Amino acid sequence: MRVQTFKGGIHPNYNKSRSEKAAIECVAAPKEIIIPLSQHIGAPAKACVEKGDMVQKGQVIGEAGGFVSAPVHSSVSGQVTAVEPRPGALGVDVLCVVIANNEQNEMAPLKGLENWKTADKETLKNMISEAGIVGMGGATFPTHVKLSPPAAKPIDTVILNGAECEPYLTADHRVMVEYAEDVVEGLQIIRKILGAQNGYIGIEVNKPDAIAAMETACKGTDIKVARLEIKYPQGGEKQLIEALLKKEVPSGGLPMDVGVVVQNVGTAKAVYDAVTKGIPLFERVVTVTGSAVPKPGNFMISIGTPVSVVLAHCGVDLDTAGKLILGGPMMGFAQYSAAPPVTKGTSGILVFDAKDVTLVPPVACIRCGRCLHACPMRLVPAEIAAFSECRMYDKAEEFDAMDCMECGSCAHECPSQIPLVQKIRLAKQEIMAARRKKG
Amino acid sequence: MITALLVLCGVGLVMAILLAIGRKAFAVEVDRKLELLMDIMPGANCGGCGFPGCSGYANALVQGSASPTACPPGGDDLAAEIGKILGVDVETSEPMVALVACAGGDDASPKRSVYSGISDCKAAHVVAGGFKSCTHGCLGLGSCIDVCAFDAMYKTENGLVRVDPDKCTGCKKCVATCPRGIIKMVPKKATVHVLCTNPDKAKAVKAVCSVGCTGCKLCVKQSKLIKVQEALAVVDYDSGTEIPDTAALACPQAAIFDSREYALTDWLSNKSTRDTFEKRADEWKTAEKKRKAEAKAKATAKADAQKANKGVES
Amino acid sequence: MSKQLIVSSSPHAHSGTTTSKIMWTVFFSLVPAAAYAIYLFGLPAATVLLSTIVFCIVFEGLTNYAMKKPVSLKDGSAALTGLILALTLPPGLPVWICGIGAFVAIVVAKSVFGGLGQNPFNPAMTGRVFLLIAFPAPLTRWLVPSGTGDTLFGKNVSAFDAAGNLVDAGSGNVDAITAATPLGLLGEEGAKAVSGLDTSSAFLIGNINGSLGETAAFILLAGGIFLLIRKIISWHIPVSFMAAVAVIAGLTNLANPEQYAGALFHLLSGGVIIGAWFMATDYVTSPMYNKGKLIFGSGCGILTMVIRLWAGYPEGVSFAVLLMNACVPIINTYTKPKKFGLQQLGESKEAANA
Repeated sequence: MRVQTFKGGIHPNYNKSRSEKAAIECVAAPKEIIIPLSQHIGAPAKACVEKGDMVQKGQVIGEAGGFVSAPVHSSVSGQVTAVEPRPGALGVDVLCVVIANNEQNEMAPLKGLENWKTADKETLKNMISEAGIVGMGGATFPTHVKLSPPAAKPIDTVILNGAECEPYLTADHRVMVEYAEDVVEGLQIIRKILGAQNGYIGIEVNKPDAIAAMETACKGTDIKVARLEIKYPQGGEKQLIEALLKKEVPSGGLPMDVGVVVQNVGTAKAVYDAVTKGIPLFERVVTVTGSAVPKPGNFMISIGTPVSVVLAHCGVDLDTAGKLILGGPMMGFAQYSAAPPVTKGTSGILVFDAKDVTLVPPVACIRCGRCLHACPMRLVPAEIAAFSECRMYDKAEEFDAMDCMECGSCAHECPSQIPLVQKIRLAKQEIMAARRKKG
Repeated sequence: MITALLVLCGVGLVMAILLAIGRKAFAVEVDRKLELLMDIMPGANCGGCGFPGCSGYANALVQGSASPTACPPGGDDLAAEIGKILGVDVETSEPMVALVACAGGDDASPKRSVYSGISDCKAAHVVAGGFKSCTHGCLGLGSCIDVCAFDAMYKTENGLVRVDPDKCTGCKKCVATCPRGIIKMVPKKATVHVLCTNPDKAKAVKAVCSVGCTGCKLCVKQSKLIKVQEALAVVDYDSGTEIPDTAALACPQAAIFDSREYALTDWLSNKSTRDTFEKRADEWKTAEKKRKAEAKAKATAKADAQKANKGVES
Repeated sequence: MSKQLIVSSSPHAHSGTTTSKIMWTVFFSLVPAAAYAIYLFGLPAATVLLSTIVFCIVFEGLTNYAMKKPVSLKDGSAALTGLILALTLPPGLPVWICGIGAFVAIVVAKSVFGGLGQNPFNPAMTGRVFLLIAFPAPLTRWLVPSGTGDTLFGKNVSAFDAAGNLVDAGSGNVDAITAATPLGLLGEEGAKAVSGLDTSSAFLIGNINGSLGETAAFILLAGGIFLLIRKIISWHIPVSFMAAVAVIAGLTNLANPEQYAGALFHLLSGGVIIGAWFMATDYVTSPMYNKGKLIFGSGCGILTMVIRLWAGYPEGVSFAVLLMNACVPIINTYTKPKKFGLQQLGESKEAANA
């Protein structure tokens, strides 16, 4: 079958071999679990437990703070010891529910649907919303919002994103191999909710076992398993749509503007679990790898487990490490400590030796054009960055800084090692601030 | 030769006449007031007035949509002149200057990570929450220095930024640039300031900075003009600026700065300043203790005397 | 924590291709051509190469120092400029003229514009054109290569004297060992003057007189193809440059074979190969988009041929590249593609059909 792709993009070193064959292993929840109330884009959840309360595994501890929000569930049974700010993944303290794990694994009463096919759309959507499911590729946009497009924008296609184009990460890969049927069933549920005729699963060809597993699981359905070229950022929503449907999502628009909804394969599995078993999102698969990780692998980790606990499980000595990243190397966030917990959006934990993350001061731009050839959005990163550096943010906006999705392709390619993404991000911040000011 | 000269002169003459006619024919009416105003504008185009540059402000003044006192660099003098030109009365205001409310230099609030990236505070602030232990502390990359049009800001040896109040015109550009909101506008005549903006509780503050305000309220006892909000002391500049030096001496964290006694430049970065301050604070505290003990002794003595009196009476 | 972690903005990975690696790769792709020039012309060639490169590095260092900028010698751009400039100069050029060329290339054409990445014109080309206009005589006196390598320390050692005249070291006989380049002959006397030349072999092995890097087409081509394989340059500029030259030469040759030489002669003579593969492809002074590169390359080719065929100079590559350098900003502006999301790929067509 034809290998499909988009225009632009880069070929980084994928470095997936250390963890792609490692089956998902469960990591026991630690004694203390720290669950942030905001693990998604949108309004933070409101805590509905207090210090001293006993909670069960799967119980709601934070209620959705609005429509674009998601509830938060306990991943252990035990006693709430505090509701207070704790270090979060962005380096600032965020409000968290801290639970002392009594290790009894007392489950809250969970009820799934025996036959989801007979249920109506609203019931299914509510179940997803109540399970606190958000985009698990890292963007953490609440899934039920994505499944509620305005009537004016009918959805005809659902694409499951199994590209996993971020180097090092293999979590989605393992989910596709090990939970193939769950993922396909999840896709069918999503299609039913949206009334979409077409279903695609896009997978990069460096995961032949995942493609095989998905093809087997899709037998007897009309879902198309699409082979994608190994290229970054193949898993970007807009790039995936371009590759599979040859459509461009309008600038500033969303996939639903071209009748498409894209969901991560992990999200599809979570949807399946929520609808058929009533299990809310309280654990996820995380890839732990990198040059400073002696025992890399893919792990099923309870949401709220501190990163330090996971690293200890993998034999990482943080004192000798140089860099700790939550997420992938292209779009993940560097951390100053391992205190933050694993959240719904944590797809990977990467730890690198200091020698692998040596910092080179940038030199002058030589106008080689690598950044603009790499840019999947057809922008000129070097120019936007130059305007940003001169604080000419209005000019940066004119050069379409807001269309940048911060995929990092430009900075990865830049021979002068200019922090293009950081400069563009700064320009975007300033443009947003100026827009808010204007109102 | 002569012909050539005549032709050239003739061409020049014709051109000059055409230009003169053109100037009359296509003249643009300029408001006389606008011209006068443009002449007295400071010309820094700092944007402190909220309009795009000095000409934007002058235009707005002529149209009546701007206040004559809106130009911070010009201050009261300019406001008075604008008032004269526009024929309006101008109320003078208290001159304000910027203050970087942080004393936690590299020694007091050490770095918690090694930052690599562009030298801009706003950018560094969003990378893992900034590289400084205190998330309210001055990052010292100097974005405010970059935007200051009056060369009024500078870096200190211990990685902080300071404002020269004599050069500062109060345009507030730095205030808008600081991602941590630690640059405050204070009355120029104010002498005592709390150099901390961390509202966290004592334990959390002490964990990240040795000179952060813990909200202990010892300063509040020295002056009513200092109030504690959350766990942070704040000077209420609106109510007054007359704060005794004992407020600074009373602060166990040395988070209160008194410009009558020390230079802001070497406040806590200079060892001798620090030693002097600590010595004075110790002396004051000992004296205070002594005074309190004496007062207490007096009170006890008085009470004893009263008791004795009562005893006698009974 | 005993040790602090490094934090930075994403991405946390890099391709490993750095500016200095690129510069040195280009440098080394030209080293064989330089070595061959030394083999052909001996000491005079070595002197020009060495002095130009050293002067360029010295001037770069001095301007860094004068402008209080971090020293940028390690990135190799100065050495590369020196090498390219040297390859465009005739062997035996006096050292002081090389120094002036290096000064113009590094200081006037590059540093005053803000250093690497800011110069609108190719520094090496600017240096060469300056010398060509300022010192026309020494710049157009071409040594006849010995082709044996014995010129290095042998009897044919020659150099310019103080007045800029080329003298034979042995006999002191001025002009005894120089001749016009084939292009010079062509310009003066028409195609019949060069018809005796066995184009393909003489040019390919470089056994002709010309500047250092104009002679050995096959070595230069090999270097260019090496850069293409290493993805340092793309095919667009060299191919369109050479195609434009070939098309114009072919057409004029067809029209009047007496007056105009053929496509192969024009492609292999003069600076077309080095110009198309190494000078026009300079990142800083060439367009960024592929479409723009095609326009730029063919523009260079057309201008080269216009100058060669109908202008006063026998060779036009350096002028053509400089002229096209000036057009780069406007080419970039008009070849910029629409950003993602403004082009409707399949849909607009369907809509149009419906």
